[in-house]
Amino acid sequence: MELTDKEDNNCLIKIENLSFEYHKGEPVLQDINLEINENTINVFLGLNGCGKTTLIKLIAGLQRQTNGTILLNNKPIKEYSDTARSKYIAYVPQNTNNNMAFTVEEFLLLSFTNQRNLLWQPTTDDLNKVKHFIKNLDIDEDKLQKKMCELSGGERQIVIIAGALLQDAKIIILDEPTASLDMKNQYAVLHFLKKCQKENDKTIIFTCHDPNHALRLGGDTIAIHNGKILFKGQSRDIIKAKNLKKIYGESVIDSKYSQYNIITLEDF
Amino acid sequence: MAKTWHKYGWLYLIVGFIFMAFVFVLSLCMGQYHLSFSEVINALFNGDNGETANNIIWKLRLPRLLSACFIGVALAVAGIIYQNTFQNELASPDIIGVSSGASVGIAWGILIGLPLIAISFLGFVLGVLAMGLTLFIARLFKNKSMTILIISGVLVSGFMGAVVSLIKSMADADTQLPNIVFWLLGSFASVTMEQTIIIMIVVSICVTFLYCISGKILNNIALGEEQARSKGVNYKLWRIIILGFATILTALSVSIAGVIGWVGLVIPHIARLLAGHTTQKSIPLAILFGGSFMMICDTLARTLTTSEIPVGAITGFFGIILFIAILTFKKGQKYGID
Repeated sequence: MELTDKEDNNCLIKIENLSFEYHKGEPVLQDINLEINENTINVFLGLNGCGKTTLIKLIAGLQRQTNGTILLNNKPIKEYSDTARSKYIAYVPQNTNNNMAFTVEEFLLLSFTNQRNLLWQPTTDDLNKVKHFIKNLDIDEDKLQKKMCELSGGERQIVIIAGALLQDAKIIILDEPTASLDMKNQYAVLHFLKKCQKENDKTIIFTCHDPNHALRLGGDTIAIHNGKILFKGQSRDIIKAKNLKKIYGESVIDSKYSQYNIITLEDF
Repeated sequence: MAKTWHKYGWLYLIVGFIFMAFVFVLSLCMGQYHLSFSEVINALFNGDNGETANNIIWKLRLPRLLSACFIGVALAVAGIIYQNTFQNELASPDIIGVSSGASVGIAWGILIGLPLIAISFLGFVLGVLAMGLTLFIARLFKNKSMTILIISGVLVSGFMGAVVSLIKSMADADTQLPNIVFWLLGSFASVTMEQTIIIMIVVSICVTFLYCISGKILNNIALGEEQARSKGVNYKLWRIIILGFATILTALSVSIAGVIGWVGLVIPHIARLLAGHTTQKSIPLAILFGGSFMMICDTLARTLTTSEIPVGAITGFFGIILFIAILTFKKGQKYGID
């Protein structure tokens, strides 16, 4: 019986000495060195404004770094055309308050964009693929005809995530995917991300505010603090009370706030 | 209504096409010299064979009607492109700078006494440059939102308007000024057959191209830069290309027929009301309704009274009424200004 060790997994993304600043002299990220392996789940934790979103946007190739290199499959990410990169990476933003007037169906059909030629118009074949896919995510078929802006924030988030998954990219990058979801949908999304990693060989990267999610999904956790990596390693090793104190501040774990914490380790 | 496109989409298109054909033939009948339906059909099929009716159709009414139809299509499709790209339903060829830039070209051309072709050409060039100016100004702001683009368009339009006023004040009050004013008010009265052919060719090419890329490119551009790039579309490149085509359509229209407002704003709303927001569905309807609407307005412009009314006045009048009707209709529906 062969044991597949984590180190044997292909390194898909390699980040070396990355730094980024919006304005000169105000670095948002510094000295970031990171490796993202194939078929892993990677969670970024950290305070608001610590640089998590900027970092994952850089990884997604949607921002240009100030210094350092990001290699996607051993090739600098800026050398990829948008089409080529989109076959590797699908990005789900945090903000879904964009007044999208497409229907759910019209939006999901756009996930096929990078697989079709320039003159493509959606076909019934494409539509059937969409219908088959949304069954897995517990999205009703009658939702297909609703406009995106008619859905609640959480429902819209699920659709956008579905769109990214439908894109069939190897790496899915999500910015706080569970932020506006109710408990049922949170678990549905987390469960589906885990399934994608295990059964569909996807690599998942997402930022999160709840260390519980990171623990539940296993994988790796990377903690960002003041634009630098504070901890990185397996979630079970990183997510401990003393580390969380360093990431979020003393008050999170001790004294008056500790009664609100429910941190458990359960198999998902 | 957009929700019934699934079942009735084909019906909307067929009805739209029949309506357009009907408007076309009826417009050819109407005028100071009234022609019957059969005379018109006869003339269309038998060509310009010297008979009075055929003469009127082929020399007078057909070039004018065709240019009106194709410019209606051009403005409506340009409107769809601007509203789609700027993610703003009030974007239109009128406010984005192109029309005003072309107006400067036209006014200036008349002022310095250029021949007709040169005036049109100058109008076209300045229309395109004005759009470039809008995009340039928008880039000066650090803010990358779409609203900045609209603001830039308004600024450029305002500035160009001021330049036109200046030119008007310098123009000779007896000969040049009436020319400038009448041209800028918009009219198909003096469009030549050569101009009509240019319009038909350029508009057909541009609109066909835009429709072809509607499924893959246009719809993704509507999602904004981040999502478009995530799905695999080179946003920066394609945005320039499609804005370029929309600007060519608009600048061409203004440089030949003057400033005709409201078509580029209202027709896209009607198209989207019936077909939804995906461009492969809204563009065909914009073509049918834009062409029909402009033909109706032009026919009214030349037949309502014994003298020509500028068609821009008619499109304004009916365009605004239509827009209010659309907003009222939408008020009953669940979503807002979308």
